[in-house]
Amino acid sequence: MKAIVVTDPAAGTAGMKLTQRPDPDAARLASLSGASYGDVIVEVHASGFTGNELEWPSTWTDRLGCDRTPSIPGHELAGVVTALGYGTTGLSVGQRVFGLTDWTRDGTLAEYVVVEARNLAPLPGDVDFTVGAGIAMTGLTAWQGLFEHGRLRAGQSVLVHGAAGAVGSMVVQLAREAGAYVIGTGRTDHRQTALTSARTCSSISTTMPWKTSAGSTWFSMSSEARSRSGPPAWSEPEEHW
Amino acid sequence: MTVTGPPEARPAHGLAVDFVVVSVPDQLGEIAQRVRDGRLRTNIGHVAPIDDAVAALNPTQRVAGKTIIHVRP
Repeated sequence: MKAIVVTDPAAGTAGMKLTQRPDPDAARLASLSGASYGDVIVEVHASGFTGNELEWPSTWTDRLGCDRTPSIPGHELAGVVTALGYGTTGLSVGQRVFGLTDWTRDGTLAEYVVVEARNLAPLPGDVDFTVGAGIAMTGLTAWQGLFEHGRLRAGQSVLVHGAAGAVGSMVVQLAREAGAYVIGTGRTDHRQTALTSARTCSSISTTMPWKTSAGSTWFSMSSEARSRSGPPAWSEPEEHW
Repeated sequence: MTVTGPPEARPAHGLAVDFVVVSVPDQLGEIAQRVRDGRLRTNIGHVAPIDDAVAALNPTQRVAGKTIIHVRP
């Protein structure tokens, strides 16, 4: 099968190569002999890659600490189940699915991927594969940050850095829906994105940027502040709306 | 709350959380439902075929939104 592989941790994304890798073995998957209990094979239609994946130890070594290169990166997917492993429940062959795959196994920048059925959700027929792959990591990151780790409740305030970004825009929307007061930071030139696609500000006062009833505020980070290392720092708000 | 790595500075009167995302089907279902009914808009940027994936994942300029690779057209 066609796949993107990485072999050198020092090379970064520039070390990615398009190559041929063996197809997953469906017969072995369905037998008792493999260590693949509960796995399915998914024909990948759309795949997503997270920017710093190649810095994660799990990209290079498996759970036993053994070198697993050449590794296939990309762990976000939407596709169609083509084979079921022994013991798999909840999914059927031909089913549209989406989700994230195990960080320590070969990923989704390939024509097929082996993934645990318990990591996949059905992809509704009216949600296309591109969207399915695009919301798995961004949506789950936002959801788990806000609701599981942050235990967000209505009326609380949420400060979202990079509010116009792939994850940030999800955070803004989910936090707003949950009744939070959302403050976004980002580049000035991304403000319109936050406004139109992430709905950062539906009811903001232009005269009282900090404490409006239920709206959002946008703070623009200067390029100088962005490039500094260490704790986030930003300029005085350039514009509010 | 950070997913990019452990916080460099601990807040004096707060809690810093560094977490790894897990794939939870129920939550994926909640997210997909919000996309379907219009509560959640996606932020997808560049879409490229797998033959162009290496270039798409090595952009020479900043790309807005999530890059998605189409493995099948």
